[in-house]
Amino acid sequence: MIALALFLVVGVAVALQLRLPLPPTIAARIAFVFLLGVGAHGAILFALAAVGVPMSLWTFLAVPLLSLVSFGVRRPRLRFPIRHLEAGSIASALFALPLLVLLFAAAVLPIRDYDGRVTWLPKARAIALERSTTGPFFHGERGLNLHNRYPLLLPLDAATTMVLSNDTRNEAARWLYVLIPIAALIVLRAMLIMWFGATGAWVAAAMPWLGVMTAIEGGALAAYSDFALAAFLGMAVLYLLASLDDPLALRAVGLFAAFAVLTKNEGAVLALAILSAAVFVRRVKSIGEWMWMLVPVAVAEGILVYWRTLVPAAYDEQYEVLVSSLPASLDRVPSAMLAILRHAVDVSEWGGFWIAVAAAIVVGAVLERSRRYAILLVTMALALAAYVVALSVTSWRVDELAAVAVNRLLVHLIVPAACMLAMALRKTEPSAGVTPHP
Amino acid sequence: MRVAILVLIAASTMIAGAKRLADTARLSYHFARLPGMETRRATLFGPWYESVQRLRRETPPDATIDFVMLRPEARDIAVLGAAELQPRDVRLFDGWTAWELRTRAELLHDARAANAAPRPPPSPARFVVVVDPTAAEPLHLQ
Repeated sequence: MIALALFLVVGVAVALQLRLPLPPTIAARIAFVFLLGVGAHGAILFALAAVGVPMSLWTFLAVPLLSLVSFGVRRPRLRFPIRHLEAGSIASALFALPLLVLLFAAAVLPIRDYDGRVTWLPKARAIALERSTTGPFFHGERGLNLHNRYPLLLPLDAATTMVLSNDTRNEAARWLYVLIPIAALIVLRAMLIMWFGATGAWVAAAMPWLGVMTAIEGGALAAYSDFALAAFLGMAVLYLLASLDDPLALRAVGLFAAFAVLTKNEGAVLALAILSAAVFVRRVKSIGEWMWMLVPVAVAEGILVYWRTLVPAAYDEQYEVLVSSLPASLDRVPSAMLAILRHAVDVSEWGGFWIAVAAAIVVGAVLERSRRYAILLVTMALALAAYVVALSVTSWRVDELAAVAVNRLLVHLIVPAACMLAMALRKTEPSAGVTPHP
Repeated sequence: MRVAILVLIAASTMIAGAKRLADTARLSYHFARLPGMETRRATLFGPWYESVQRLRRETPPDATIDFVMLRPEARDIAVLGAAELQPRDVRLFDGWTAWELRTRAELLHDARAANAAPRPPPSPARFVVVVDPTAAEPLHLQ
């Protein structure tokens, strides 16, 4: 837990230095700076390691220490005043209950998901033991390096907790993984209530109950990186919406998009989706805004591409080869779309969530038609289109791959989907036009 | 109308997630009474995990270990075992013939995917482990 406090320190420093607007409640601010710290710390370590800086104990401590020093340089400037948000006690209790169960389970249960144990945590352990992202493990000389070129932001954060707790067992990184989805939901809830009032509170209350939260594979108790990706995309979306009222919020969008790039391969697609929404819908205007959007993502892509030249592909899908085979796989596109649809409407897994989101998209098209609506729609539509392509071009049978992958891909989109839902529901209120909301 | 829709969405989501949440809470409550994470892992993961822990005790951290998988179903526990034995250098082979030829197992069955990093075939390891999920000892030293 001490190691996790380091992420808070880094997050606070980044938020202050970049003058990022913060969410409206204390809990959401803590959650937001935690996510910011997880992303910034991992991204900076990724860059340092890629250029050959030895990963000594001091390297792992360097970012938090520099963050502490930075507190003396710039005083806080809070853009959103802290507010007490009226959520209603029942909605609050329903929101909190599943999260408390998750925390209890995280304290007791071993990490048990397959991909976390064989892919992500061995990377973290290798970094903690070899103090390098290009060491023997990543050259196939010391252990089974599955998906060798997967991005390393989360493994670097996990390695930090391992090094600082002097423990390389899987559970050393447990709190990092479980706190990410919890933090994302806390920020989402605060923003939904701020924008949509009681409607937002009830939509937020439903989110921690989603079956995927407690799924063994890819759930909040797993060491997959899908919830981290969902959290980073979610923060980027929330801040892109907030940027319509406060241009400073745009600074966080590029950062979180960059973190997504460095978290999973899908992150590049999601970053592209959010950048497209920013450019074509939010209409980024000044050079400064362009820089805040594009530079972090370009740097992240640069780090990733450069690091990948240093380590061989091993047990990796070659996506550039796969995507180039799309013309030959076009006949699989309908079955890929159907597979996603089938999983989204699986009531036993998602309840009525995605069905309601689909209805919300239709309602929004009729009643909303705002830039907020378009941002959410463009982000989700581009991401889903990319996932249809990904399912179509693999050599797996579509239904087999969908069975293990689609729910995790849908997880990436839960924040924009929840916003869409709350926005549409709010729009149906008789007083919807009176209260300012995005 | 709006309230009815909200209740419907929230209720359907909660009902769908509640069973798994209750299962997680129940399992956590049960496991909280077991002493220590190691016991919990052994209870949760079963015989293969205990075999791997035995290998862990019997091999030094810098050991090279060849896993020879006797049947396709051995793959999952071989991969999980290799991760558990980190930082030992574990290499996977599909059967004895592949082991003799020093041809590593292909884990991704797609000609367009990369499997083991392109390197010379590994020299024989210091330890050889037979992986057979149907055996009483799923991973055992040869």
